[in-house]
Amino acid sequence: MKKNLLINPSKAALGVLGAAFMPVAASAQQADAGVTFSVDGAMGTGNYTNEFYKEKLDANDFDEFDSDSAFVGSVGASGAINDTWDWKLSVSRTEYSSNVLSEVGEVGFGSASNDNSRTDAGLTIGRSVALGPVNTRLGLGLAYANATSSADKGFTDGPFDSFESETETSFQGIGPRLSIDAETAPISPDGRLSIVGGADVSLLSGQYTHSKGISAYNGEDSFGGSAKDTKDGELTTAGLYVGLKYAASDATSFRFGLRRDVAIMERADEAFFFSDDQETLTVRDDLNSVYIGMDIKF
Amino acid sequence: MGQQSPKKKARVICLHGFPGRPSDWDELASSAGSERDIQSIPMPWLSAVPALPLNLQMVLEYCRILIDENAQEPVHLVGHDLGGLVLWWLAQSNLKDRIASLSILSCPHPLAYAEFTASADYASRSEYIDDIIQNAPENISRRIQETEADAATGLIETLKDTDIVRLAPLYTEILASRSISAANAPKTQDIPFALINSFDDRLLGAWAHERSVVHVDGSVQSLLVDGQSHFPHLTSSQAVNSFLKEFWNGTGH
Repeated sequence: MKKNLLINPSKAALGVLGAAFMPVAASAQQADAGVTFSVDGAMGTGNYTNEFYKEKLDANDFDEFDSDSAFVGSVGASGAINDTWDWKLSVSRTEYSSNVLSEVGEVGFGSASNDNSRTDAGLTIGRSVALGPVNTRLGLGLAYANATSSADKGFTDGPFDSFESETETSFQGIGPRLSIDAETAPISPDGRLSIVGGADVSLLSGQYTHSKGISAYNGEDSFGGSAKDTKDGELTTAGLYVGLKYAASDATSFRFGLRRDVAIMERADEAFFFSDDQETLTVRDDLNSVYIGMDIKF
Repeated sequence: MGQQSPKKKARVICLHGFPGRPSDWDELASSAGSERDIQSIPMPWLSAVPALPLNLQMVLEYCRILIDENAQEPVHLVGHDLGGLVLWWLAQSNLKDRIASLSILSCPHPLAYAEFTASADYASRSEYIDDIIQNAPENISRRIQETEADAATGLIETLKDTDIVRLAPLYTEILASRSISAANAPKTQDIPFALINSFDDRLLGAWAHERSVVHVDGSVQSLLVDGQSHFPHLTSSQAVNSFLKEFWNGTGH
């Protein structure tokens, strides 16, 4: 007997049945879903440089620099381990534009710039659970980060004819990562649009390398020196996002929304220019960004 | 110069009812042969389809999306029982321009159903829905065993593949629809309809069929097959399939 051809329900159709909120259904879909590749881009602003100088100058009202601007790019992949557990891998790069201040009369230097960048990688093992009308994935795993922050300053005024200093801090570390991602029921009649959100936190332990260099010139006299110090330390990152997800097809979806990322790391300071003592500051970096992303399932 | 293969006629998408499963339409596919593609949608009360407890809007939207995704050209739609109820309402959806025809088996027009529930005849046939709402599959099995001798084995097997609990809110909603007014009832003009019932369907009777014909505004063809089965496509498949093929051909698609 000739059989009729079965129509396999699409993700959009299952969405209107609330299938996304059923743990069994969700994991069953993931188990045969192959691998999903993700790419995201975000642009945002932060106030890291002013925060650094607030700490450095011990001046809570310091805001001479403009806001920092940054670009975040990330790629990721995810897939099922079995009907219950899944894995998720992501690598992202946060690159701040150089923040330059040409003239600061009150603090006595002519120009200053600040640069900041960080690479993050995370691998989590997780599972999805239904919390009321929201499908939630809890993930636990490992994170890695490599961060670099530097500050350059140049004087053309003061006790020297010219004076330049540079400090740089780099960090490399690894630690636990906890993440939660959530997706609501479809909010559009066609079952394709849903609200997404989530948060993550990584507690990294590793090694800081602080370096500084100064050079000064005053008439016939010149002065210069550099120092480097390595020590153990921690870096904490956390993120929060909320947005919309549009399932263009069973294999492709698009996401956009808002993110807030926080990183707390140490920074080298050269509070005493002529001292070999390596001072460090703890600076918090808050970055608010708009993101857009795409997932493709293979 | 080689012969050109004949152009395929409009495809058919079928919606099974409860109890029911996609394979209910295999005999129709065999009957259609190579002339038409016969497709079917696994309805969301099957356990294999992940779904929360169902209401009519969810089922309508589920079917609308799947038909929209799978039928870019005019398509004949066939629905039995709850699948037929979906079709009464899809007739006025944004798909209506792509619907070549609607064939509804063993499912009265919502206004005819409202009239039926107000009739004395309904009282003797209402236990079926009560059993579903009260999640009493053993009663449903017993009733099928008693009333559907020709198809009982397959239908009872089908029951095992069904999540009856999901259907309770949908049938509660159907019962509540007995107060539907003509203004809120689905409109049916401009689409050719075929209505198929057993002459004395144990659940609906012939009267609901006749009233459904009255409530279709446009073209309607009617088939009443002998017997009391609620599943004429299974128990009188030859008559139903021949009627459907002739009906589809008459639409020009």
